[in-house]
Amino acid sequence: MGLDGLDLRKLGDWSDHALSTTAYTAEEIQQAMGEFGAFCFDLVLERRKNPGDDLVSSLVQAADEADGVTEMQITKLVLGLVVAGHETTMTTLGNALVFLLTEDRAAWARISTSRDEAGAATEQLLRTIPLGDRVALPGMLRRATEELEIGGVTIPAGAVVAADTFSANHDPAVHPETGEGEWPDLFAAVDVPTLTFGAGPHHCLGAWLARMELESGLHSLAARLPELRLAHPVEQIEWREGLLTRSPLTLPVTW
Amino acid sequence: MSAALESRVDRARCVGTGACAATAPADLTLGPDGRAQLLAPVPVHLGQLTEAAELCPVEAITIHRADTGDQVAPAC
Repeated sequence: MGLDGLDLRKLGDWSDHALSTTAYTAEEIQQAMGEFGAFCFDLVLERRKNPGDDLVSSLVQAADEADGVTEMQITKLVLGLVVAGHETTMTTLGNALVFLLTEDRAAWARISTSRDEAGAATEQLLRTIPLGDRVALPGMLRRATEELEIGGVTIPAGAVVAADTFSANHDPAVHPETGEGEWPDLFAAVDVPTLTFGAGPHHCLGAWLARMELESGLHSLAARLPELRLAHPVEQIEWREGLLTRSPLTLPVTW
Repeated sequence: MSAALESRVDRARCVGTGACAATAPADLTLGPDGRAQLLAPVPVHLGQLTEAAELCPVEAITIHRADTGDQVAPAC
């Protein structure tokens, strides 16, 4: 996206506000989103003036070639890409590390052996590790556009539902369950689609980028630091809370 | 002479983004269940279909040589 050299800490802070459920007040969110929107708007204007080889410049050029794409739409798209482009991948990487370093050392060793092994594990980690805490919000909120029946329950048109992708990704009718108290085989192929990246026209644009970053990040870390382990018991982890995503705030480690 | 080709869609894998139907409207459409389906068993517009196969985020669309079954797109 060509955001290198910008204030990444600020971008992270704005992203947290964008994904806040209870962490910030409505006023704080409004203020942060106002600043974030202004930043993205300036970025769009700047890249229109000095286009480069980056995503924002490409979007601006494509929008200018198409008819009827407003400055506001490009700005919102850029804002969405900034948030979605790092927050969820960062969250998943942190959560995957907690799991691997505490529950599945054998998998950590195997991930270090090749990118292919890391890639296989990435698919299962994406399926099995929840992105949010499932308490503040048990899934993304959606409005039913028409009446439908799921599992014997009628959802009327217009109803707001929380779509819990974690539960869908563990549907025993789709994904054969592991035994009670057993972890899934992280290296078994995920043969059917999961809802981790959504479905339909809004399927995550960055799905392959996220996969690549996770695969590369986990493999490199495991190959470089095979003895990596948490410095403190897992109960002492401080979590980022009150956001749509949940992950360790910090993860002290030793090796 | 180039080999005859066939188109395939793995409907179990499809997540219904609709990117393929928008990219290769002569070859693909979304069925009533929201998943991609072929309009013809062989490529109609090979360029568009190849692009659709490369665009599909779950690689549900593939093009094969009819005689050997070898996959020609997306490149693997």
